[in-house]
Amino acid sequence: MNISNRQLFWIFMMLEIGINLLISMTPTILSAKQDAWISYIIAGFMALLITYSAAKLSSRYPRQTLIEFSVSILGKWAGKLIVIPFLLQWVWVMSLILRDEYLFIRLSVLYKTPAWVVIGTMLAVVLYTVHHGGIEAIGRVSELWGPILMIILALTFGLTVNNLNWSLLLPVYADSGLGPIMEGSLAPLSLLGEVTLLMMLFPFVERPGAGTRKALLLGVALSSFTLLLGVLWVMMTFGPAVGGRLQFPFFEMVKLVYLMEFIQNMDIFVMAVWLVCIFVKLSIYMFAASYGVAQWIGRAGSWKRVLWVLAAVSFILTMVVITLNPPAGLLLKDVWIRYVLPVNLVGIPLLLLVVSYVKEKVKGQT
Amino acid sequence: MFRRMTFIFLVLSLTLTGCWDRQELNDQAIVLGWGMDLVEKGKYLATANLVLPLASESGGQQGGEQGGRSSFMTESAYGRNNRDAEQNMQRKLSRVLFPGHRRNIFIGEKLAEHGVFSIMDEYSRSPMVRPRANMFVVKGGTAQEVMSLAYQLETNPAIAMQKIQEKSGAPISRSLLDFYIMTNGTGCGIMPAITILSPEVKTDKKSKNDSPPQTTLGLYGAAIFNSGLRLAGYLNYDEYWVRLWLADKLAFRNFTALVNAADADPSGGNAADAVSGATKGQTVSVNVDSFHRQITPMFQGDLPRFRITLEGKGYIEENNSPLDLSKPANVQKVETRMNQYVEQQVERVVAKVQKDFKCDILELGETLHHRHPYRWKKLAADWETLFPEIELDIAVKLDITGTGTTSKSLLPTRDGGEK
Amino acid sequence: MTQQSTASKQEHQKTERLHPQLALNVERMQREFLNCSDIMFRKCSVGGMDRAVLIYVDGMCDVQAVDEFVLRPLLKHFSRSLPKAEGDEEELRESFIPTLKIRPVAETQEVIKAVLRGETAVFTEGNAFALLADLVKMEQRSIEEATSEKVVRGPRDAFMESLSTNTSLLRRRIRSSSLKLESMTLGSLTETDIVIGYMEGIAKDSLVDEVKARLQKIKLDGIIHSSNIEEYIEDNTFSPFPQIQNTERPDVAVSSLLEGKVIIITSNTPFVLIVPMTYWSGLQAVDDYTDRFMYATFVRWIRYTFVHISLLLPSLYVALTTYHLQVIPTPLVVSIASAREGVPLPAVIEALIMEFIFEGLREAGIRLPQQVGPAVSIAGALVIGQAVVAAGIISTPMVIIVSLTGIASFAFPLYNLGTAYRMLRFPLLIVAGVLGFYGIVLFLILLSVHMVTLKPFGVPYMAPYAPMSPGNLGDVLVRAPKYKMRRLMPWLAKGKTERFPKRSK
Repeated sequence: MNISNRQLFWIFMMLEIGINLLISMTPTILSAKQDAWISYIIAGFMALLITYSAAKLSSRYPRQTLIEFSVSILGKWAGKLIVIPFLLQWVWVMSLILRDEYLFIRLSVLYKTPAWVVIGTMLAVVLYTVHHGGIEAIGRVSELWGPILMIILALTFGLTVNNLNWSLLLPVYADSGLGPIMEGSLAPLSLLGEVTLLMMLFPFVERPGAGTRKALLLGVALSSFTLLLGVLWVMMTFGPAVGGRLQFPFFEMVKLVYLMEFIQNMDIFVMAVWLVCIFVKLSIYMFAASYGVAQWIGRAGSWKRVLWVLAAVSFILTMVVITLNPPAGLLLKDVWIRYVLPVNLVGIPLLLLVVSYVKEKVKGQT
Repeated sequence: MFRRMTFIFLVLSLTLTGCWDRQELNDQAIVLGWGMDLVEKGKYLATANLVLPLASESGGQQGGEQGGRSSFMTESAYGRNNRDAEQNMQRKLSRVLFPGHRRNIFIGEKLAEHGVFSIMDEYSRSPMVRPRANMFVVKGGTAQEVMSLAYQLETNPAIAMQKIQEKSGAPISRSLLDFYIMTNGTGCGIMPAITILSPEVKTDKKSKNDSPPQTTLGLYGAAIFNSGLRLAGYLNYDEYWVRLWLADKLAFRNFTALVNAADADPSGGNAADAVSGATKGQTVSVNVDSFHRQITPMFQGDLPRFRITLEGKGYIEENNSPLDLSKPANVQKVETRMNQYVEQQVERVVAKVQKDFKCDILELGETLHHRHPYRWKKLAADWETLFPEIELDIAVKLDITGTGTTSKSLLPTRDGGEK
Repeated sequence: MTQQSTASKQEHQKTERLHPQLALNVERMQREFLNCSDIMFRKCSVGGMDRAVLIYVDGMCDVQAVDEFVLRPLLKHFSRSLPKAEGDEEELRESFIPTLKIRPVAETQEVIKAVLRGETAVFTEGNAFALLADLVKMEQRSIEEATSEKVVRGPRDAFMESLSTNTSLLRRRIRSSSLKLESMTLGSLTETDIVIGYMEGIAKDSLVDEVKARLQKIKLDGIIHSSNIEEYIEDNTFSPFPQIQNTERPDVAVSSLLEGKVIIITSNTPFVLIVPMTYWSGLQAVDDYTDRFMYATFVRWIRYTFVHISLLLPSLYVALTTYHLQVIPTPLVVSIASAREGVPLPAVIEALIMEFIFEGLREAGIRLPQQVGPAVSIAGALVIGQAVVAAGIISTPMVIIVSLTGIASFAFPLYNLGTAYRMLRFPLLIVAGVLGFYGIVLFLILLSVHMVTLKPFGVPYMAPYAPMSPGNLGDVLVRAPKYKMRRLMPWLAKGKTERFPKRSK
């Protein structure tokens, strides 16, 4: 069960683009206005830093997952304790993704279908994939669909060019300023930062090494670039005022495709590849969570049994989230940006990296 | 093996338990156009233009009308807003109203005067509705009047209106979205306006198969909304293009000006003569199909002023003047005359916008905002009072690139002689 | 009879040897071939006593050759030297029966098998062995054109039922000793000959061994057709996709051999199996390699499009018209709505019925006697195409969709890959009818997961696309000029993947 560097590239490409395209644009535009694209550039660079440090950390322990090397770095108790936020994040994020997916599906294609059907079917497909094919199948599916995603996105960008109005990007910087731009970059960064998941996937790579780091950085860079294009397109189509108020501005933009009377409403195809992205993301999280939990309790071999439990848990959790229906912005801002971003995506990886270096130094001296 | 089978079976059986969203095509009434009229405050009359699928004998092989049946129907209902009216309409309809193809929205004049604020939210909120749609104001009438009128060339009047608008040099099907974007910018909005046009001369039908011009739909121009989203006035068909040109959205336009024989003499006679046609003159038409505009804001102290340069490229399509167009000097003369004529037109319209509507539909404020964002911050608050007094330098530069298929006219030499 | 007793009987028979006495031997043979009217016994009597007996299967040996090269020399020999003939095995074999293949056999069971294979057995008085002359000549058709894989340009010959002809067709094309053709026999009753072919030095040893091991594991009474083997050795039977390619074209077999694949030739079957199969090889037609590469690429993309049409078109139609009407361009919606007006069935049922009828017509069409074929297909076309629409039961767009789908499903170069898609259309249609486009996407994801997890004989089914091997994409997404396609798939090649040096141009 292993994946190649190229597959890792596609996995992260799809994982980063998927939900980001859907939910991160609105908060960013709201805060950074027409300078949202600057926020995305900043977010992209910071995400590259996160990727680099996480990859650096992982390549020090190329045959261990996060759960294992945190124990080797911090010792048994501290090591086990420090990964708990990750395990919680992974389980929690699945239900958030599923909820967002359901919201989007309900708004764009299936208006009356009950939540449990939309979520249940998606979860069943994910469960089948992870159970049956594991990380290998996910890698290959990403490799299979990745190019199709890129083609469809390129087509979308190409076909909406005639809707663009450069002047909607003006004036640069004057209306927002540094503060709002930085604040705007937090939303995409917190989602791009999910690349720290690579610490779970690293040991499954066929030949982990410099090539793996390159693939990861390239994946994050390219997906940030795609998102940047996406936000530029949205801004130039709708302007900051309308763009910031639409719930899913990117998909509204796709609905504007109109060429030769006949090529119109590409949204359904974009939705298709977007669903594949969501599928890849869910599967990766599902795999990481179940494998992580299995390793955490010390029985890596029985991760498939954990998988069943987690699938059930995330189904119930999603239904609870949908029933309680907290606003999406609240979750993104108050939970994700306030806690997950500083703790899980930046804090813990850096801490581990530093401790690992220090330990090595100390060992070298004695 | 068998686990996999049960898995697939499970997925199938899960999905087989119901079809929640399935809606057969013949159970839907496809709405192509939607009209709103104000009856009294808080009460609206909604009109829907529905596709009338033909009786199936021919299986849709013959389009258009069949046995005198028209291919659309209109239905109406009162309501307190769009959705309320839609629900009231539904009780008269055997099929579910389907708004997914609602590309054209008509607004009665009375409603426009009263303000469209109270009804426009639904057009962007309803998930089934596409953002690409047209909005029209019906000048001097109600939406229902326009929507009930059969249109001869197309099977459906809503579609006809959409096409007329596209064919007159305006951008395709996005007036709704543009309205949203624009009202968020300067506060003013603009929408295409349509009206019912009676034939210029009434001709009677002498036999059954005659087809004299009938009363029909037509594009009137543009309706201007002020920052309260109330109708401020109209630009008519001969004025509308100015705003399109200034917004860099004009696609093509024919200009016809008078060129008199005197112009053959040293160029630059009295411009007013040529434009007004006070002296005897003949018409020349130039077809312009490439437009460019440049708006440069400048500052005189704290007050902004604008230099507006309008450029275009076209060729002469009709020449009734005695000028010999094979001589470049004569083409130059036509160009000069044309520039003067167009400039006057533009100035007239701009003045109308500034003084009558007091509404920045020329997006000058936005231009200022883009170019001088920090100064704009000071001006933005009282732009509405500043705008009518802003000074504008307007220059038109038409470039005539050709004279059509002939240079000299094929007609024999006329009175006044070849110059 | 239980299997065990059969086995023990066979064990006993194996050790049974022939008797020096001719009469006993003949009696033993007659007992064995009791009620086998096609087994012939020809006695050579000289001087009133039986000197030799010939046993052969009627219709399986070259009667003329037996006459000339066996019977006549024997008679001559016996008439010359009268009494004794013991110990002259050498003499008999070398001098009297002038045929290429002749051998003495002393075991009864082996003689019986040889006779059944078509050899002529000669029993002589006083010898505890039989001479087996291989003068097999069976009735067989001549080499004909491949009927299931037609080409515009390219070789016309096809495999046929005779094993030796088939191997000769291969050997004719690969004059190299590294083409190995190993033979084995399968089927306890049919004793079918099977040849495993591979290129030594190209095919991985592990693959060859795996094929042999899987073949040897097969325990069954009879192999009637190569498909019997197919289902025994394929990795995942519960998959709609074929994982073993079959062909009746020697050129396809040869190019597969050169790619490092293993072929299995089964006697009495004109279809040769190629393992392992990848998805893309099922979509590559012979004509791709004979046409100019630009046209071949173009045609290949048309094929890919049609392949997906054959799977998706009906369900897309159903999903779009019953779930996502807003996506279809307005004029099209109006015309579809007009056409559907008055049709009593829901779109999904309409599609299912039409697809069902189409499949039925196709199934019946295969078995139609040639004389009635046109009549029935005209009736089918009329009934379905015209009357159904006129009666207002089915809408015109649906007829267009179904016939387009039907045509598209014949764009597959490999017939049984086409059947996979044809079958998958039905569940997809149901899913589309329940969940619309969302269902279609989920189904496609599920399908792609299934396809990437298939691994016939250890080679990923979707290779070289997923997992990707960029050097091999020249034969997948496009059809590159042949000098560019110089790499073997890393999953197939043993050692280096280069097939030939880079062209200097």
